[in-house]
Amino acid sequence: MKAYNETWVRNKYLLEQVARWQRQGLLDDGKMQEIREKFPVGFHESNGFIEVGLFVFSIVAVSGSYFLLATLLSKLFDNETFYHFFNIGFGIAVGLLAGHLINSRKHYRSGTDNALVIAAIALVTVGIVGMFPDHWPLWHYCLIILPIVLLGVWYYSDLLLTLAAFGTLVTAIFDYILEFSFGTQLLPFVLMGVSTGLYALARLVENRDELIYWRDNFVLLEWLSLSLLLVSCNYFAVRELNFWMMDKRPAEAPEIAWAGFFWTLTMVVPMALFYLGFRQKERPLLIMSAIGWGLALATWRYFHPMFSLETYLVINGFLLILGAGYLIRYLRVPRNGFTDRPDEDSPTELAGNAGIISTTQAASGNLGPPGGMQFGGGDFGGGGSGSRY
Amino acid sequence: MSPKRVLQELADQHLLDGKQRAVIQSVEDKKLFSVHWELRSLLYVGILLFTTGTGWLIYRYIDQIGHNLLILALAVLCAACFAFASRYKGPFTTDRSYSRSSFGDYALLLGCLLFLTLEGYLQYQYTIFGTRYGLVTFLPAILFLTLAYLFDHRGVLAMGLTALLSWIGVTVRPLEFYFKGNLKDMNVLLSALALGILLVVAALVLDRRRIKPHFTSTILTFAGNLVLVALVAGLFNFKEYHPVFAVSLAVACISFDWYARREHSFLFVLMSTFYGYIGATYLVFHYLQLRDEATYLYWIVTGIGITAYLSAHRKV
Repeated sequence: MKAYNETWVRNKYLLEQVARWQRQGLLDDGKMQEIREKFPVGFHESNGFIEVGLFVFSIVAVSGSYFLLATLLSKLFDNETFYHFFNIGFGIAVGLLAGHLINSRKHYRSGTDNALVIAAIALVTVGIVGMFPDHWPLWHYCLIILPIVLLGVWYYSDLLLTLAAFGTLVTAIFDYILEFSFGTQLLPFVLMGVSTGLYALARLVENRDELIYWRDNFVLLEWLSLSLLLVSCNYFAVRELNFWMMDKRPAEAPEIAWAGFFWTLTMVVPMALFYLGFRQKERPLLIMSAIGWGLALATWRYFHPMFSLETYLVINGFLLILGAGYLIRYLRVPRNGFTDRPDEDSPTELAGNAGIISTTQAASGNLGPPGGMQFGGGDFGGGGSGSRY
Repeated sequence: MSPKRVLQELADQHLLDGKQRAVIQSVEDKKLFSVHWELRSLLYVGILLFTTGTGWLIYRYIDQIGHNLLILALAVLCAACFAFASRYKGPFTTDRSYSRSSFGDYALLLGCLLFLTLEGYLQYQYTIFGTRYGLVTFLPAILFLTLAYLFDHRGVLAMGLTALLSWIGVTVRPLEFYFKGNLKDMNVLLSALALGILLVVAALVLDRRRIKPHFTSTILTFAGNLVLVALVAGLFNFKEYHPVFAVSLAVACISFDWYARREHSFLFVLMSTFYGYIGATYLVFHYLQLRDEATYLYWIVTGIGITAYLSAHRKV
């Protein structure tokens, strides 16, 4: 028993694959219609921009209700236990509302249900944690929070909850390991182990048919664990961690134990990710290996600068242009199963908009206000990608 | 769900015959891994790093020997980029056109970014535009907008619009959700409104004439944000003109909403909702001075109201 109709979720993934074949011209419209009828998806279709609005304004409404009720009942909150029960009760009520909307309005990750689910789980968690003594170490609370959030992930398959669960787990490990006298030395290895383990687990089960309800959660877990792996083996991160954990901090972060080992990892891990990504044709691995390479170079420049930052930017920018240009030419004909031809999975619209946003940002940097003018005035949120969905 | 599993499922339901299944399976087996967008992203990042670096480099070594050589090299590179883009330029049409080279669009982008750097430097060192600072931004704005239409390049279009907004004193930094200018100054605010309205009209006229219709949403996003920011700023900064700005904001939001419904453009629904809500909330709290319970009640009512309204929009 899950929050969303599991058959519809399954049919949704199935139809996505079938729609790809239709775009490739492998299935005609009549066949597509026949398949759609056989594998119905009852969820309401939504749109990214509307989802953002629905999420924000649902949070506004929930916050208003919470504070209104809390103000009205504030006299009773002298008894702390009552306050915690109020939080739990309010959380359950929001959860029931979410359930009602999911069933009656056929919401599926449409903004409103995401907001209500997050609010419900957060309130219940706060209420339960509040019942425990307040002088425990942080990781104790994390261990109380984690099962509740994981239960939420199991029931709702919500992506923000997945992120929260990951964050809670990492915080718990952090806090627990640092309790030991040798914790600072141990922590990077534990985090590397955990991130590798979580990544392997996510890869193992992401395509399991019976776990399809959580497919997106496993994919998100892959990205998160790869990011954690890159950070936990990075020389700069380890050295800074060591520095912050010292009782008396000198002016500069001192050299760490096994510096050579961490330098090697900083360089070798992105290479290993690239090798694996290349062999297995895995997009997250390839993209994270490129980001890892960027991190490794930035780390190297930070500790062993040979030129000024501008020179590095120019040289690396130039090399990137040459490298990308060479690869684009090289992959005009498919090689080793790789091609430069865009396929039906390519995020054309998204990439185009990201490009426009970063170009605007770059141009704006060169178009500063002409000298001498006074620029006051308010800040306003704005911008956004221009596209029609 | 793996493609194999989907095929199995379809076959089980007798939706595919053996032949169709074999064809799809063989296509899947031979499927190539496309790194098209990854490579273009790398190219993009490279261009941004390179131009940012050169921009800083020039000012760092401004008094040193070899400095002029650097400027010369950049000018040559800039010219080469424009020459390359022109050489492979597709024939001009009012509809979408493409460069004949994979690198044409990127060369144009690099050329335009280098042009900005060089122009900024020339003004800094030789004050070629004297004290007519407006020209420093107006010139690239006109150049980029022309190039955008000639070469069909949405990135260069966005750069042109950014320069145009800079010209009237409004800075746009989308990555920082930043849209800033001295909107306490009525002159700046009115120019922002005038430019915004002019751009909206231009975009709609060009769209109607089917001249580069794929540019419409980009121009309207810039212009819409400009108009709405200016109107909200007017509400915040000029108490004596509240009625005028309140009515104008309402009209602007309703017009964008109407356009969004007609064009199925959800971004404009979100824009008009957010700016409208900010404006309305400001007025309510300014004049009614709501206290605790009333504030919470306002959140509940408006939160539920707008959620219901946006939910209805899901089917635009």
